[in-house]
Amino acid sequence: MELENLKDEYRKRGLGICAISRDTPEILNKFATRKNIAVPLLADPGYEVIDAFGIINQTIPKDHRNYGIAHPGQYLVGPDQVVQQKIFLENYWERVTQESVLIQQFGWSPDIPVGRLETNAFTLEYRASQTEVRAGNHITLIFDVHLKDRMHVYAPEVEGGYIPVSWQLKESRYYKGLETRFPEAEIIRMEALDEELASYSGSFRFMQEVVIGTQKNLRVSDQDNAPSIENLVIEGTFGYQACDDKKCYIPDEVKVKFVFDVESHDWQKVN
Amino acid sequence: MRKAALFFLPMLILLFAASAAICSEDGGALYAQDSASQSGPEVGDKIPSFSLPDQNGRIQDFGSLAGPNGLLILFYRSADW
Repeated sequence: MELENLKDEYRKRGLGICAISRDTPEILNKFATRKNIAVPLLADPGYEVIDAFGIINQTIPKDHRNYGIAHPGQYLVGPDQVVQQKIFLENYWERVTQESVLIQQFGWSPDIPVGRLETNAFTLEYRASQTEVRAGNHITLIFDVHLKDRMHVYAPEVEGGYIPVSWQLKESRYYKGLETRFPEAEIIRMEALDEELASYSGSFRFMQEVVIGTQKNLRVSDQDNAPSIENLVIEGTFGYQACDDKKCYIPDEVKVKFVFDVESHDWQKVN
Repeated sequence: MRKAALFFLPMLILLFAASAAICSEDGGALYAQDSASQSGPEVGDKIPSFSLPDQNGRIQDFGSLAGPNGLLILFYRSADW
């Protein structure tokens, strides 16, 4: 349970954490002991609370032994008990990792070695929310662009035929790109041209959310019993046109590569 | 894994409906996909009150769990899969 490893990050931000499931306290006790989990795991075997929240997985028939399990997801609730944020995904095998939540919601920077690329216009530092991925994980790629003195690049919303920054994920059966989030642009006034252009200068961070494929997608081949790949490579291209206060340079691009360890899901039963 | 091996085969058949649908990664199996409409209170809504035992048997509620800025509540399917 990744929440256990990150519980201090939430606590530092003044948040308590708990996890609720339709298990008995005995099952949870065994699970917590085996996995060394201190995060409060709340037992709702009669699924009263899951029902009160209105998140019983209704695709399971009422007479089925698994009826009452929750649709997986999470709420961030303020001290007034009002929902501030919720994450429930359409596909129940997908999960936004806690690392991604911390990065996207709280601006957290994971303690992960950073890759670096240097061009004439900028230094690009890149890392991901984590180094290990599992099927269905929603992870976050983080890019910190540090432009050199007097350099700027154009933001995605720039008008007038200027070439904006872009991030293009390489196609793969192993993953799929979701939202790319660029920060708000600054408006740079070009006196000579009498134009105002949406740009970035100094440093800016953009992020890409990526969903890792299903366990089936992660197999080395299409055969049913094929083992999972051990490493996953996510690649993409950062395109840009850099300008300084005198001229614009030829549009260019850099390729970025991330390598992840692929972990399998832990389906071991408690009993 | 205390369950006897003998039990395993019939269980596999019995549980196929459950485990294939619930654990299968591509959701194709027997149950239709769950829908986001079953995702409970929306942003700005107050959550229902709750009081449940934790793994150590201690009864916990919002007051005992929340920090000064609130509480992260995670719902998951089961620890026993």
